[in-house]
Amino acid sequence: MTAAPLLSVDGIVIGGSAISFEMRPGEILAVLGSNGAGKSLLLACLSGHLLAPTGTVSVNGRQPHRARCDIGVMFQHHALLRNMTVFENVALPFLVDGLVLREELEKQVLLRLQLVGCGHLAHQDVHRLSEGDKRCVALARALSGQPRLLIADEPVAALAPAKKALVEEFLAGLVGQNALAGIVMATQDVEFAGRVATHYLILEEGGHALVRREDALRDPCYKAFVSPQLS
Amino acid sequence: MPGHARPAKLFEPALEYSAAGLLGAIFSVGGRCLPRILLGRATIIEREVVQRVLGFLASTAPTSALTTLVYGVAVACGVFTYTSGPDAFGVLVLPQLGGIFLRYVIPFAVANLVILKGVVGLTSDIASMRVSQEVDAIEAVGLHPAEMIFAPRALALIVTAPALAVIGVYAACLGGWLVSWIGVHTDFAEFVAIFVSSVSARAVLIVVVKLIITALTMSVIAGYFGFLSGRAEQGFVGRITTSSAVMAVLAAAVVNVLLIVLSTAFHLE
Repeated sequence: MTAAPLLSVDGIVIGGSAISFEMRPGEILAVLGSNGAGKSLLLACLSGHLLAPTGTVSVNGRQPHRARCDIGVMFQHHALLRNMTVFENVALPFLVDGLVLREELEKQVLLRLQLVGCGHLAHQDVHRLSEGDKRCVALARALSGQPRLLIADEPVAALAPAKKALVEEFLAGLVGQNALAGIVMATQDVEFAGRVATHYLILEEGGHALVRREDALRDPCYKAFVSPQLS
Repeated sequence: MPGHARPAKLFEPALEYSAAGLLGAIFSVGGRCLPRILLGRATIIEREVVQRVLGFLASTAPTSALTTLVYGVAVACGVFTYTSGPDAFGVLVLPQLGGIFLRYVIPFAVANLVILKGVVGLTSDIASMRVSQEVDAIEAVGLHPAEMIFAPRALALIVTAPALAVIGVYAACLGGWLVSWIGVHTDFAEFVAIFVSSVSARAVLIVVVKLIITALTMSVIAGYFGFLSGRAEQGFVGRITTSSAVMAVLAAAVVNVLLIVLSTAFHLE
C-alpha cells in the first residue's frame, strides 16, 4: 500500500502547460528550469502565497494557505525581517501561539541556528549578515515551526562551498531521519540537485517533465539536462 | 464582429488586505495591548506597539512643536495686521486666539505631520516589506502581517496624534505670545491666562477626537496602499507611497469637513 500523498498538484498552468504531480513522504523534489521558467511562481503556489487561476494544490489533503503549520518556506530573497535580530527571526514561528520567549524556546532557536552553522550569529542584526549567512538563517527560520514539508527557493545560492556541503548534508539528513516528510526546492544548481533530490521536475518551454533520479540516470536526454555528476 | 480579447487570468495572492480587515487589526491589537502589557504577557507585537509609539512621538514631537510655533506666529501675525490697531488686537483678538489655534491651526499642523511622516513612512515600510517578501514570510509562519507590522505602526499614529496636539497647544501659545509681545507688549503670564481661558475642555476633547479619527482614517489608507498586491517591480514603492499620501490628504480634508458638519449639527462647537 502506498502512502498518502504529502503534496498533490493538479492542473496548475505555468508557461502554457499544465503541471500535475504527486509527492509522497520521504521524497525530495528539485524543480529545475531556465530563468523565467516559472520555478518561483510554482513554489509560491505550493506554499499558498499565490492562488493559481486554474488547478489545485493540496498539502496533506488541505489547501496550502490553510496548512501553514505543515509548511516551512524559505524564500528566494531570504525575506528576513530587517528590524529584528537573527534570533528573533528564527523565533518568529514560535510566536504563532502568542508564546513569550522562554528558556526552552531559546534552546530550540539556538539549536536550529547551530545546525545551519549560524549559532554564533544569534544576536546580530539581520542587515549586518552576509548574503550566505542570511540564506542559512532563512533556512533555520523555515524549519522553526516544525513543518512536515519544506519549500525552498534557491536554498544554496550564494553559499560558500563548505556551507553548501553542510546545508546539503543537513537537508538530506532531515528527510532521511524523518524530521521532515519532504522537500520541494527550486534551484539553478543542478549539481546540488543531482546529489540531494530523489525526483526532478523540469520546467521547459512547451511542457514539463517529472523524472525520478534513477530514470534521469538512464535517459540520455535528462542525464544531459541534470548534468554529468549524476552518472 | 471583432471581439475584445479576454484578459488572461492571473495568479492572485491568497490573502487580501481590505480596509475593513486593517481596521479590525487595529482594534484587535489595540484592545489586547494594554491588558497584556499590564499583566506582563507582552508578546513581540505589544512590544513593537510600545516601541513604535515612543519612536514616532520622539521623532515627531520636536517637528510638531516647531511647526505649530511657526503656524502660531503666522496666524497671530495675519490676524494682527488685519486688526485696526494694537488695542483692537488686545481687546478683540487675544481672547479668541486660543480657540482659533485649537480649532484651525493645531489640527491642520498635526494632520500634516501625520500625513507627511506617518502615512508616507507606513506605506513605504509595508510596500517595501511586500516587495522583499517579508510580508510573505510573516504569512508563511502563520502570523498575520496586518497585526504584526501594520497595527503597531497605525497605533503609533493614532496614539501620537492627540499627544502632538497637546504639544501643539503649548507651542502655538508661545508663537501667539511672541507676536502679542512684539505688537502689544503683553506680559507672558497675562497672555497665558487669556489664552487658556479661551480654550475650553470640550474644545480640546473635540480636537483630540477629530485627530484620532483622522489618524485612524489615514493609517487605514496608508496600510491599504502598502499591502496592495503587486509583484516586485521598479518604482513600485515610490508610486504606491505617492498615491497613498495624495489619498490621505484628500481623506483628511473630507474627514475634517464631515466632523465639522457633524459637530455643528449636534451643537458640539
